[in-house]
Amino acid sequence: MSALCVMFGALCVLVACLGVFGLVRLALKMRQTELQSWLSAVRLLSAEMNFGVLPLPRLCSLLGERVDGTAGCFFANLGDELGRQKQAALPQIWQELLVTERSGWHLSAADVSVLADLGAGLGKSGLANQRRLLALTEERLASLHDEAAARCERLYRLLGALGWCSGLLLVCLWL
Amino acid sequence: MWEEDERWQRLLGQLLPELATAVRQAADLAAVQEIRLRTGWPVRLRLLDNELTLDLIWRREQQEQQLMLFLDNSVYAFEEQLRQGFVTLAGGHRVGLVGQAWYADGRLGGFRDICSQNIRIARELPGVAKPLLPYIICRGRVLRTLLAAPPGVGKTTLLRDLVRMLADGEAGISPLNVGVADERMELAAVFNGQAQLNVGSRCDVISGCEKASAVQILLRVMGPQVVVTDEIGSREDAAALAEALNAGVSVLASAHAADYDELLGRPWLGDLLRQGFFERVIFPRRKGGVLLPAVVYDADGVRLK
Repeated sequence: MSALCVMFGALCVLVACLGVFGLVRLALKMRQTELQSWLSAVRLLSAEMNFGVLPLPRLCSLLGERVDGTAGCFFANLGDELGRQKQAALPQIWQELLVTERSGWHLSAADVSVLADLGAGLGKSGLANQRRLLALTEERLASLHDEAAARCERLYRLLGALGWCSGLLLVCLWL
Repeated sequence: MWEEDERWQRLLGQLLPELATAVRQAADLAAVQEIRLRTGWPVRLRLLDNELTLDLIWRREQQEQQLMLFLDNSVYAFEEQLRQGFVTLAGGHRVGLVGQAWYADGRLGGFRDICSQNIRIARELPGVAKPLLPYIICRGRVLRTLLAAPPGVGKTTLLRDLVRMLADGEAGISPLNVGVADERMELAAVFNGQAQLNVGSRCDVISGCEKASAVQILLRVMGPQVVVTDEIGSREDAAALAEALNAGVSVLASAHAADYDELLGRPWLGDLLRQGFFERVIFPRRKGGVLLPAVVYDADGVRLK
């Protein structure tokens, strides 16, 4: 009976260690996925702004429908908020929404600061300057995405191995 | 189409709350013609026959906030209109704005540091053009007609109502397909692809496009029976109207002028008149709130009324 308890305990320790490192692995992967979602959104925003010259509330709804993941959800909510708070300025709504929603995201402070900069300038100038803003944002997001992808590739296996090793080490120390 | 009350509600919803409240409390909305917002000065309302100064000093940040509200937080989407110094709102209202001009690539790029906004309230006066119909329609045909008057008399209002009546078959002849070249977006006030002012059910509108190009496009692709355009005057406008004549299409147009001699003195417009292009030239006048054809000339410059 006691041997069974020990084995169960060891299994729990192993699972806990794998779980902790697994969560870190997931966060790395999710950051990459979320950055990819934002990158797609910015590219689509740029294309639609150029070709359709639609106002932002309509662009937000469109992006909400056509972009998957975090960014799509953000733009859908932004479109709703712009419709609801007709007399509020977009940078203010963007900032408030960013603060509310970022708790559920896996983006770093640097990633969020790029999004905050985008929100501060979006819609405030003519088409040429909007193009520049979106191109710059795309460039910054692409660089962050590449960095996140490299980091994920580098650490993904390592974190898996660390999960196993730390689990086994703790079990050995315990026994 | 919008009811007057609904039109006002739309406008009030687009004003900053403090301005909307002040306007609502200060005057009978039906009498308000314009809302003038000048930075550093009290808000003023131009009513039908007088002016009202509100107890609200308009600050610079309010000027900017109000403009962004009108622009739907999307300056880029209204760039071309801003370059011309106006924005058309839902409901057909029109906001004129001026400030410090800036230039890009040798042409006016727009205005920054907006210091004045003039919100002109859109109104429709259905049936206002009825007194003109006997002069414009002859043996079931719409004559090529020019409405001329100084600014503010109501040329655009008349033209819009004529378009509506012709397109809806209310002019005593079969309904016609009417093509409208609405460069300044005053005739139909298209917003989000929909005319905000009633121009009838058989009307095709090109907005914000140079009149000459717009007339050519209408003739080429929409097959109108009547082409309508506002405030003509340039050489290109005259050439485009001549093209309409060649296509056998009637023309309704308007121009700024106090009298026939002033029209004759205009470089391109004068030539059109001398060639007998316009079969009717009508000078409307406002009399007790009604617009009447005060002076009418035929193609030979003979005064009919």
